Amino acid sequence: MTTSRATLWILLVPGVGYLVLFFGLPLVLALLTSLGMGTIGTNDGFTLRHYAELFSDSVYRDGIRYSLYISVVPTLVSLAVALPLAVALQSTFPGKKLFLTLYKVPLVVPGIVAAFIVMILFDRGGEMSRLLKPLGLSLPKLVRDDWSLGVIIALAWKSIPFMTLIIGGALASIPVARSLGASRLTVFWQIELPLSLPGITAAVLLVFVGSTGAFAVPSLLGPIYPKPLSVWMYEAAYQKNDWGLATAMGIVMSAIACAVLLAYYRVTHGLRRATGGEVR
Amino acid sequence: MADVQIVGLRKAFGPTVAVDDFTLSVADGEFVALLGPSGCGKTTVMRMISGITDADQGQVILSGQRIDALMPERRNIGLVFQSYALFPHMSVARNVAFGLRMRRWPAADIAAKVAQTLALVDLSGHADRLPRELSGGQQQRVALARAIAIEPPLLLLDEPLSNLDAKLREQLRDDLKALQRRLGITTIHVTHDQSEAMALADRVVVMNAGAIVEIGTPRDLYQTPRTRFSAEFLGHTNVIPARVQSGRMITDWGQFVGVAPTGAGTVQLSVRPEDLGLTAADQGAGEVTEVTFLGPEVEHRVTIGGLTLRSRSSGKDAVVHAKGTRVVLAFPSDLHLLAEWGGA
Amino acid sequence: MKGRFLSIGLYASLALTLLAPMLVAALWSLVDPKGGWFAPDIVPRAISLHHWRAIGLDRSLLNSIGLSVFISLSVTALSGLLALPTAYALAKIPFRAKRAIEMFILAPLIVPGLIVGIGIGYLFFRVGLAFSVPGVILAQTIGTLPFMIRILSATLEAIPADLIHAARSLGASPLQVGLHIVAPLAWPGFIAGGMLTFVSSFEEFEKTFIVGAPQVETLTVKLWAVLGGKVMIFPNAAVVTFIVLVPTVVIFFLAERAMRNDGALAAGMGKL
Repeated sequence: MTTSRATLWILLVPGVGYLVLFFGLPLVLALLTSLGMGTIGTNDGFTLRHYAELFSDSVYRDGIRYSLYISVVPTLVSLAVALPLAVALQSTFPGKKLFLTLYKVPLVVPGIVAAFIVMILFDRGGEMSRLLKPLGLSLPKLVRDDWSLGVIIALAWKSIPFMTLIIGGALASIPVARSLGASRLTVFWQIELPLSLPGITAAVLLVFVGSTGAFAVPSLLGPIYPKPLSVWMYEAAYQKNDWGLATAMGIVMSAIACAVLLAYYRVTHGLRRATGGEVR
Repeated sequence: MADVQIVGLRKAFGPTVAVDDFTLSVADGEFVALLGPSGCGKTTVMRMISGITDADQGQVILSGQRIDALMPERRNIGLVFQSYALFPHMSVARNVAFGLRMRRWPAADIAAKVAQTLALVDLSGHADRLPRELSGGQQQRVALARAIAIEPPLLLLDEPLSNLDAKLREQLRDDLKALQRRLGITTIHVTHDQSEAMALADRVVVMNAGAIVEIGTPRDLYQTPRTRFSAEFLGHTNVIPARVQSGRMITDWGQFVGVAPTGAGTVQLSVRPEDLGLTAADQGAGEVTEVTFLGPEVEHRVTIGGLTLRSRSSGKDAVVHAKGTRVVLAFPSDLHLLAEWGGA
Repeated sequence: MKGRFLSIGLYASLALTLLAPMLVAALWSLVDPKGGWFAPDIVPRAISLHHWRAIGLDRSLLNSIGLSVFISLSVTALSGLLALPTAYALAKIPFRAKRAIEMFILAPLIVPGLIVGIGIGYLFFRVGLAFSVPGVILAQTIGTLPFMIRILSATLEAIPADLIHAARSLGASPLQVGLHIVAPLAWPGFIAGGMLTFVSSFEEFEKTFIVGAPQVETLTVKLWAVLGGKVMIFPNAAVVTFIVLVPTVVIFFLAERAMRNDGALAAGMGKL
């Protein structure tokens, strides 16, 4: 009852074919354009000047640095919250079932709404500052501030459930080592943490790379300067019509994403082996 | 006549040969067991017969017709799985009726057949239950009912009793045997449990590493196995090497009474523990090293001439020797020799 | 006892991080246009349903709602149709390139939506699909298809192979197996996958923005327009926020119900 190659191809073509056509192909075209060999915009033959411009212009270098900043910091903040939360969710407590659904809500809230929320709560004159005023306290500047705190808050808020979900999954798949009088903390440090490390790494990688493409949140909440690379990319494409530069930026960010993808696969493959799951 | 001829079945997965040149003839109404350790290829053979796995080579002929080129749904073979594989979203009755619905039987006939089959497996009151509401033993009986409802010429059972606990297993084993006798369906049963194979089968096919080792009736296989592998797989045995010298078989610690094969060289004797007797004797060559009470039997382990042998005796009047007792061994008068090439 | 403390702590945090913001947003949507809501008022002085009632009169908002629903339904249908055969192959057929294909399918989920949008927007210029509804549908599907494939294949994988073999041995052709065995058992997972895809499309922004804006104005694009404009109109933004969030969260809840545990969800979104 083994399937023929032809049947296999027919089954795979709709899904995989679509992605090759609409994802793979544009990526290849973008690569070509970034190297000066595309069909829109600059096409005078192979050149690295777009990449050179990207890495030499201080504006863009600041953009790269800023993009990394708003990718790394929210990821770390999320981890700091998601890890204990994931651990807490391994225990049973009243109302757990409902909680398990509720905490995931930010997953389906668009970035813009998260930015909006931060705006109405944390901006100058926002609800938080109004609540604190009678107490004589005041909030630091959180929107359009130099440290992009508002951006970090919004991005972390969105990422925490996702990270918790993945880390929680990793923890849940570890067979319970309720052994021989070891305290809860010991069990965690010596058994659960090391075994779930691949899962934690996977979560961190995914959140990190997701944040690199943040556009709406930094645009709405971030400082006027520096702008993240994502915004520069949009402006290069649609305002300056400089597709060579825009695609160069896109390729650089895609390259980071692909590197993360490979690392993620390496790590989850190791996780499967570590927890005795089947390796397909 | 639902006889089965299997000729030269072969299956390889990449470089690993799972089944090599499997040939077997099963008579109409016969119950054959494929017996062997995990990985011996018995399940692969079954899957090739049923069509789940394609054979690389070989033929399967059922009632004179070749079926190995047919799709599984055309082969009309009843299958019972170790996991039962009951359709979880269908009631017991609908599970049993499934094969009949696929054959487009009229509704009334289906209902009658389902009722009749459920009665055969003693589950008449459970027709509307869902599989998850049933116990393991009941689920297995539904699986059996579903397979026989289509009145197949051949029934294949893949370790159907393995998931059940010991007592239940014995009970279902007896029910299975009675059912098969009553319906007279040609049956091939795959198992790694030798007592199950011996209790159920008319003939047992012992397999190892993808090949058939021996075929025989349970009694013949047990009492006169040709190979060491079979001897050791079907229950315990004592394998004793002996030298042939001038018409006698001798060891360092004694001579055997009995006719030796002609020629010289070494032979291997196979003596079942229950056929090996012990008598306490101050000058005995053997020494009792361990005594274990097994319930129906007492087992003595004896060291003699560098070998460790087991002896079992049953009944409440069996003699129990203390550890360290020196003993002489008593062998049956018709000793069994293993065929020389069969050495494990 | 400890369980109760944990419960209280967790729910309190939830109230602070989820409920409170929504409450404030709700208040913004209920602000009476005549009074407005200015600092230092913690609560607006006067509330009215004015902004909510105005939805019915706001042509462009109604358009956005209709557009968002239409696009999301189309994306769900398209993703489902394209994903099913591929998911079946991945779930049931062993083949050598499987790992590579799985990685490739994961890629559109990992590459940020913005970059996918730029890449595809560029292509759509050439073929005249830019700023069009079909263009947006095609662009969003790039992001939802991998998810659908993963969730469908996880659902199909959960169906034990023995069931299919049993059905075949009883005389069922592959089509009948699909009809009588696979479909009924996979149905809940498929529905859940469809709902989550709908939600994912409904709240999608980056790709829609790059490919469609400003002509194609879904609810999220509209929100961007409201918030990014010269004058930020919070009450309007609040209203649009709820129009986006309420159906999204409701459907999400229903989808969660349909899926027994996080297993399939984690499988779809970042399988371990």
